[in-house]
Amino acid sequence: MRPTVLIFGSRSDASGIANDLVETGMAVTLAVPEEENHDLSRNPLLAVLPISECRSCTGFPGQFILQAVSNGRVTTLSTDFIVISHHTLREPNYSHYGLAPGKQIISLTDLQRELKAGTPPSPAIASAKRTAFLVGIANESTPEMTGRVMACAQRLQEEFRQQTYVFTGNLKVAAAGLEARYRKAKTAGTVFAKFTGEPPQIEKADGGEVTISFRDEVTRDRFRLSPDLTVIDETLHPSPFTRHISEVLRIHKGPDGVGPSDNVHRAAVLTNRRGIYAVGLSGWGPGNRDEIAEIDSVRLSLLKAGNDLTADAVAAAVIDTGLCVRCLTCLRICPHLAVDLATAPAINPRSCEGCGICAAECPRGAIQMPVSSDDVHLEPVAGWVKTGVSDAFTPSITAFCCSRSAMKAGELAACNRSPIPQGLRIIPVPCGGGISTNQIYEAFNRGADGILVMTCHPGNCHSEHGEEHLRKRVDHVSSRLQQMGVEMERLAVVTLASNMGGAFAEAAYAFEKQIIRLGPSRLRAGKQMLACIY
Amino acid sequence: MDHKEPIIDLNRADPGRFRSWGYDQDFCVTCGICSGSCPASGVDGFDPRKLVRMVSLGLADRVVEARWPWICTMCGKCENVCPMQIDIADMVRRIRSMRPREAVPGILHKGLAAALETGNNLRLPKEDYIFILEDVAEEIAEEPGFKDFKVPIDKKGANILTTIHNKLVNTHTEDLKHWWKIFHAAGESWTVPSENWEGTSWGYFTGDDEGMKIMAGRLVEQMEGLDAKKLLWCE
Repeated sequence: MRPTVLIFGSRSDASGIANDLVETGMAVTLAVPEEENHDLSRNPLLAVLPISECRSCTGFPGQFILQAVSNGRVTTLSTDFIVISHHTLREPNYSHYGLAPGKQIISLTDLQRELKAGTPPSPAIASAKRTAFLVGIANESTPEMTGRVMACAQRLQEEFRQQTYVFTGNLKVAAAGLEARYRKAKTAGTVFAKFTGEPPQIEKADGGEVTISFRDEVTRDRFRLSPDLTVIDETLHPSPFTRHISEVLRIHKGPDGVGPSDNVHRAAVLTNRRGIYAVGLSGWGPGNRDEIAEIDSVRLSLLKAGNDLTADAVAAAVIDTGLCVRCLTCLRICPHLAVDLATAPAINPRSCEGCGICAAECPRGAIQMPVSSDDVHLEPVAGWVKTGVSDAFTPSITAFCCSRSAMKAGELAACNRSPIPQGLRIIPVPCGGGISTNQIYEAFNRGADGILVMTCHPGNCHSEHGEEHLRKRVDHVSSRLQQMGVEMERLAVVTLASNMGGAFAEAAYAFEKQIIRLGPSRLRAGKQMLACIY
Repeated sequence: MDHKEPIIDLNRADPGRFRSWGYDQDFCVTCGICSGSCPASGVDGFDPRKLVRMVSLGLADRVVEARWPWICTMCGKCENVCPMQIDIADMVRRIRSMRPREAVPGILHKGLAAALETGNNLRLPKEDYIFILEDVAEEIAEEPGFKDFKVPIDKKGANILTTIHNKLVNTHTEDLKHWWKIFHAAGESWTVPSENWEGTSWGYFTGDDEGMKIMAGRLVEQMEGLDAKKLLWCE
């Protein structure tokens, strides 16, 4: 059966991927904003649906159900997969630099428009001798913006014999083609000044003349430049249509509100909801290499999922319907919208990412992860160099480690032969957010003198908010420990990235030192005094 | 304090001024690997990265006036490590060449003038020079295994003609012995010239092309006159 795909996007940006997917043999519907001029699709296999609004989106990969308003009527759409093709709007950052648009101050898009082949640019541009570009100083630039600045500067140098200056924050040229553009601009004579500390001071005289004063970070001299033309960079915003769709589909947004969150643990085109993909995030526009790569990734993901909906399935959480009281905590908290209420509450295995946040939060303990901590044999990672302590007391330390970050860091520590405390035991967990208060209490009950919870840095969580959930629970347990007269320092959170093997070993050592100072835990020796707490 | 600091007006600078130099200074990504590798970095404010930046901004006047570009020993480590393959040592030399000759730091200027006039930086008379060489040779001959050692001055048809760094006939005469003894032990056919023997090239070092050519030309003449096959130029 041909998989069905619903694409949200504007006609200009999204028809590329739509036609691509049609060619791949999928049944594609392109939902475009109603206000767009919508000629019928030239591709007979591509259905185009103008919509004014999307009202809801429920379901799972292979069976999404959406309510959308088209021509004033509510339409129900069902589709196997969804793609959001991002359309971005550009807002010039005049105010970031204390400037206002004028003859001598224009935005990057305006300059590009003026430089378009076929029409002579305005006299202000054509007659300028010195042009300054301000980019990525007020906020982080994008590779696309950097690339456009370098291309424009090169043209002004070569065709208009200008001297161009690029005042930039981070100058990142790792994206495809950017280093070549940088070199071309340099060859043409563009001067770059990079600012990592003190930003340049920008002043505008009454006559409209801009003066840029700065300290060069290499020579340490003070410089001043009064350019004839100042070009301002821009901030990308999602179009209202894209924003609306992302909100209704409950896609977690990135810090700047554009696209899905910039998650280090998943490919850029994947969102927090399985079966829903995002493209066009680079802002380069159709035809660019990055954009083509995004489209290819989505196409591959769709081909794989279209053949087998369980291709990427993980070991999903399971709700015990006998214990479940339908409080719907899981429904509210699941970052992947994997809870199915069609009959009895259930976790849809096609959407579940296996983080365990629902299981940790379920007040009834009705949700089981396929591998519970009870099953994990508390043995160290193979290859660890464990060193004894000279002290008579070797603390028993239990470390809960997120398998995406801390566990990898621990394996790296083993690989590097970094010494690890003698009494360290490890429990791998799919996500720090899936560590329940019960698990922490239980580890104390089983004789841990200290518990170290190691998870991803804030903002790096595959399940978006795992680290925050974890902190909340650790704070809760800490306050209980205090009430019981047990030192709060016996429980600590450390955040790591997967490449931080050294930091893993250091943190484990520092924690061991702390526990040695505290001495053996009062909760040791099977006292089971915590059993009454929960 | 800060407001009295001089401000360089870029509207009067011409970053294109030295683009014809061909040392690729414009490609500098200011990574600083040159500064990290430079053995003279930090001495009197010397910093190869800063130098490249000032040249690419067209501010060579300031570098020409500054004392610090003269700290460089032209070892070339910077350009060896430069990811953009900028010819930093050549650039230093070019900057030095932009100083009027009388403004070249004293010892270099005087040494080169002496070399051009007398054939060596020290104005060492020929008889004194030969006395020193023979004196060192006599000392070697007193060592076991070097009986009858003689220094071959102006020997015709030798395989190797060697130059002498002026410090070796001044403060470091002991250093002559090591390689002379190696030549002797190896049975090498070698010679040292009695005139125009200067092994340093302060014309090269100070960016004085004309001076450098004269010094090199004299060595060529020596090789031709003595019919030497190879030149061992220790600079």
